[in-house]
Amino acid sequence: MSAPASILAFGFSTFFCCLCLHVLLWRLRHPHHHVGALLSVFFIPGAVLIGLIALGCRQLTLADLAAIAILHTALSCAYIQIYPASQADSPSLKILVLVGRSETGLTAEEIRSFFDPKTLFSDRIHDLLNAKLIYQSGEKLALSSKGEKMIAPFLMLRKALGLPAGRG
Amino acid sequence: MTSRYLFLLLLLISSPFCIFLLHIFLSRILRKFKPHIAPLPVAAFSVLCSYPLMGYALWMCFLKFLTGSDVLGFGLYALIVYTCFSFCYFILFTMSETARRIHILRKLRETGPLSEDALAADYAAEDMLDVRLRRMVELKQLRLVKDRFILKNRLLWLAGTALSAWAKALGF
Repeated sequence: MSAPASILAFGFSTFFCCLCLHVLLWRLRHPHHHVGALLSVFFIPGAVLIGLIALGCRQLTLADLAAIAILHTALSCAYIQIYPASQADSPSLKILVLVGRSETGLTAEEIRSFFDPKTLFSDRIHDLLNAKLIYQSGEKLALSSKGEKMIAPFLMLRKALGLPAGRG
Repeated sequence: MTSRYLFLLLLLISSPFCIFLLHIFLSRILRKFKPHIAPLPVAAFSVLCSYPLMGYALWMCFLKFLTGSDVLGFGLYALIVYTCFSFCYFILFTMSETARRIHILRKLRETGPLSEDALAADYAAEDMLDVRLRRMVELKQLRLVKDRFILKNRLLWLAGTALSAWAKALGF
């Protein structure tokens, strides 16, 4: 096999192995901290597999192994980015699916009837509490230092682009 | 050749930052002439504009020195990696625009501790759906015909359906 063909084949193989492991583990039990668990499932076994490839295929150079690792990382990061849409029941995707199913379209009222206003908001609060990005301070909710670190890059991104805060 | 190969890899790793710089430039220019332009189409436009620029840079620094099937192989490799990284950048930007979690964190940072009721009042579910419906019409995902929302982009509906199926496969 030529070098680019080997890189593509090994990069996709390591990604699909990690993806299979992810499906298997999630079907057994959903993790408490989704992002941490996803990073562990995709990057720890990924690194082990690339190490095994390095031992098994001596003709691959260090640069080829780096290229495989970059391909695996790119595919894993893209997957991890779309994961919340399947896990957290994205309202935008749900609207698309609902409108797509209806032959004559839906009014705003009909679309609203498919959503529970309480869970739309409280589920996200629950997620943030679980991830320790916010904490309960008496009757109130407060931003944790971890939450502060999480939000800072997003604020910097909007500021650099000259945009006001997003509306959520 | 190895140094050129490493340069290709470095260029691909740094590609989200290159898109970010192009996005800053285009966002500021476009907003000067069209202040009410929606941020998401600008982000999508920036990502699309970055493809020929990155393609040219990759060609000049690495691909033009290759021969035969290696050009195609490494070209395909670069296209896949670049598409994944640019997709990550676009989703990251979309999160800053639309994610409920980011909105809640930003609100708490601005105001300090708040009760759940006060947060919910600021982020009313009805308003949240209205914002999304308006944005989806702006992005031409839906169109509004006599008070009824109709699907405009079948591809996104397919993506939504595929994600729902994937969520079921993961046991959600």
